[in-house]
Amino acid sequence: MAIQFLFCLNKQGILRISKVYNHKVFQTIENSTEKNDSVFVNEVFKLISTRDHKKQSNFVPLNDKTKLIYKRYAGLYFILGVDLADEDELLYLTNIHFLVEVLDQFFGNVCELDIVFNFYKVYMCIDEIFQAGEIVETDKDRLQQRLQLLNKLD
Amino acid sequence: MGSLKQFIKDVRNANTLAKERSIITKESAKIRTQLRNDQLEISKRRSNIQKLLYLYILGEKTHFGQVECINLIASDNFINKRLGYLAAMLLLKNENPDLLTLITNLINYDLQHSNKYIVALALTTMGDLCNAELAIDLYPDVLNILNKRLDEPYLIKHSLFVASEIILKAPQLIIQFTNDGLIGKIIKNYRNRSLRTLSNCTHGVLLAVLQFMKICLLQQKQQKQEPGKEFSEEEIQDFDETIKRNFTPLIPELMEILKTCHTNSFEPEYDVNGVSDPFLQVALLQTLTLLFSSNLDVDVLKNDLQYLLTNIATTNETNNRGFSVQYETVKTIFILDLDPSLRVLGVNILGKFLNSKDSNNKYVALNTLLKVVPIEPETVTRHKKFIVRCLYELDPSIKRRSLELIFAIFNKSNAGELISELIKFLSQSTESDKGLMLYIVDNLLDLYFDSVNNTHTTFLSEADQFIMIVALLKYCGKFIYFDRLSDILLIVNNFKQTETKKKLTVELLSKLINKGKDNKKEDDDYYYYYYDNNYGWKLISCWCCGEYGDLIHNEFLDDQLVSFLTSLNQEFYSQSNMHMINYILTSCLKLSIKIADKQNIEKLRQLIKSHSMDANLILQMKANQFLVLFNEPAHVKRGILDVMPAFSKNVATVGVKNNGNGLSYNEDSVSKGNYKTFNNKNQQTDLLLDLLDDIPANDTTSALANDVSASTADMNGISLPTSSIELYTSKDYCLKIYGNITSIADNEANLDIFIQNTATNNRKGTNLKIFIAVSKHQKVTLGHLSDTIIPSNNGGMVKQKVRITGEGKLKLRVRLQFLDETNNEKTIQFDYKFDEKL
Repeated sequence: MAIQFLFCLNKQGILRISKVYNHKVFQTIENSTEKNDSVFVNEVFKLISTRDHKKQSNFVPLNDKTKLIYKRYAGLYFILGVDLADEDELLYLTNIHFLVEVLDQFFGNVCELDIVFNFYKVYMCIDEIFQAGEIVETDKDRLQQRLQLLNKLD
Repeated sequence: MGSLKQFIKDVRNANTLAKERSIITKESAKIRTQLRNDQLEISKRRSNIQKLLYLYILGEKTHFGQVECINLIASDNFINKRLGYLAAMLLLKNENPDLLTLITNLINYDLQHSNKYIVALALTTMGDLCNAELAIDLYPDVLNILNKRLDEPYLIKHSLFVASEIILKAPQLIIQFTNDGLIGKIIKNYRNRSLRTLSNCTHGVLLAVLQFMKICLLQQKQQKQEPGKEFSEEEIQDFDETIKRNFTPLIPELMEILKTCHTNSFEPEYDVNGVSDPFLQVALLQTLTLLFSSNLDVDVLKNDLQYLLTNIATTNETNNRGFSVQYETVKTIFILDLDPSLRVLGVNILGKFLNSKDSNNKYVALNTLLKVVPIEPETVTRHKKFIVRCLYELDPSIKRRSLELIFAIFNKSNAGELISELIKFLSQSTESDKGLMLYIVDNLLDLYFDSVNNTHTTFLSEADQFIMIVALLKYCGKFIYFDRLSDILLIVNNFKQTETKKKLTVELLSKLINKGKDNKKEDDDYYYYYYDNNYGWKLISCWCCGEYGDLIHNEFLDDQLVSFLTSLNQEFYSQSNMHMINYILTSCLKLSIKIADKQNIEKLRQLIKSHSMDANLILQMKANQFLVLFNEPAHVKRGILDVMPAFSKNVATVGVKNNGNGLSYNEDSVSKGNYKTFNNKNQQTDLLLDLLDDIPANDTTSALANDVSASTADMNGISLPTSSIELYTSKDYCLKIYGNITSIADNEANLDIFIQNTATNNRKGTNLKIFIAVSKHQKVTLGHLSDTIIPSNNGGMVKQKVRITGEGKLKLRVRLQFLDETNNEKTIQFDYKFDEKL
């Protein structure tokens, strides 16, 4: 039971960050073509953007294998894809929140532009927090220390 | 060539899609050319790969940069390496095995590096890309790190996560990681400092240890379920031993950590929304759950666990944070099937979730309650007020789950209350809730028939049944499937008191005959929505009118009843709805013996007669048979057309079996019964035959009746001849089309086309039309189509006879049109060429 993929989409449905841990989930789409991935992303976006932001739950089944756990922060959707049978929905929601908190600390009041222009730094943060779809570090101070250290190298 | 920043800006500033496209294509072409240049300076190469990653996010092709990632990884510079690994993780997923082999060597090299940051990079990448081959190739390096670099928590953390991945992908390697007591060694090393002081090296290591234990335990379970697959029995035993030896002593310590973690009120670095490291708490709970359910002979410790869980559950009961930890606690309680008092506590926590404002909590609570109902039915039932309230949530999946739960807690004592809640919900539903409404209809009817079949009593008084039927028809009548309408007819037919039958008939007909005018409050729209546009309501009214026409003399004039049937006939004849016409014909015949007025009886006869030349053969046959009956002497007719006796449903119902775990993925999946469309009709014909046996009927009628039953049986029992060829398969609509050539001679071929429904979810099609075209030199004649409804049960078939005359090759173009369950028209078209020639 782990995160299968992580997407960050803006309100227009444009992909900002995409990190796939289990590529098999993409193969559930029939007639796989080159544009496979963007079809998948569109499907995810369509599903989520039509949902009521306040009154509906943050969990929605995507297909017969995967469900989405998502949360909107300002104009950005952070979306995790997990196995349909996975029952740790609330914890995944906390995962998203944790990631956003770390990004917020790292960039200092993170906004969409930070993520667009520094996408590779976002990946750096993601890779420090998650590995193979599991959360590997929960100490925010340590994470920041290490991220700052890595950041200085650039 | 500009910088990455410039590129991103350019893409963002493009004001048209075409412009954006051209910028992207240009840049992508530039990168391609530059990649070929071996002399390019390293900073430019980096920028190329960064741009490539941006292209990846944009969903563009990036395959041409894959080799360059590998070049970057091979570089000695940390910054290059890091970018290379990042690119590899994103771009090399799901790629060809050759590239993965290349990268395997590089990772292998870096895993042995002295710099811990480089090792960590390699480990992270390995964890991400890990597949069975990579696992087998690289596990010795991971083992090596685990053995030799015990004092570097950062590396141990990452290696343990990688080790978990390795075991997941290649379970046979589990022995390598457990055989030489490695787990023991790692844990011992950290145990010497005591696991608790591990917090000095962050919770990460602790999480890693827990993850590793979890995966080991899960694999152990799986191997036990399918023994002999990866391991011999000896190996499994060995493995069990190792786990027992290494893991069991840790249990008290894990509980201790959980307790500390839970009671620590505030630790800023681990605080998430006011909870101290919920990730660690949940991981601890999950690991403990696995440990206690793995037969490790640790039952002595169960009391301590119960005590701890009680503590967590009760202290959290008052605060509104840390739902994820509380939720995990509840799951643990039920998975381990702990003490009854804890179970009650667990259900009450879920009850609190239901009462919270957050719909996420409601969602998980309903999910879990559904599973818990069989264990704690009474405690769950106590929360029915909150469960019912969830029906009015905006989220369809919450609504759906609360409905499932309502049916799961349904019992005789709360039946009346729950049904009135359901009716209230139906009255506020709109067409967008159609799926849910049908779900209610299906389950209520299933419950009803289940209770009748099993206990020979119903859970409802007849008055309540009356209310239920009127409500179901009023709110859902226009959606209900034919088979469910037949079920409702059955309930009406089996009412014990004539008074109820009468009451229902009057209730139904008054809305249609007086056009609702006696109810002044109901305006036209309301009336149209609930009655006039309501197929189910009309069908049942029509049936009742024929069946109980004699009971309602005081309420309605004969004129009214006859003109009701006539207008119904006009309405549905223009829609060519054969199903309804069938019912109208029967009603006319039955009503004819229940009214006295000659003129009206003649009108009924004319109505039946008008169908005696009907284009639809079934109707034509029926009309003609009825005309014969019509002319029989009164006493014969009365015998044949007497009120139907009570009879029981002879099809086993599916019931509500799926309530406990039936969280079907498709929120809209509907209709669960597996009935044949013709069931009801069959029963009627059979009964008709029985009656005929009892009275000295004249030969023609009984022969005719036999005819009817024979023809229906024929229609039900279409079977696919073995010589049929599959012509076409439509995955979208789950249909298979077969053809069978019955005869072929010079200039003439006869064939049968079979349309088989392969859907397993009871999808069906109605209003089926078949069009067939042949080549110029041939002529096609379409013969009998067995039914316009594609039966919903899996494997149900429809048959179309076709004759083709002329000469040349036998080629068909076939088009099928039908309405799906949402009444949308669907078309399938295909060509097929037979080997045969005319």
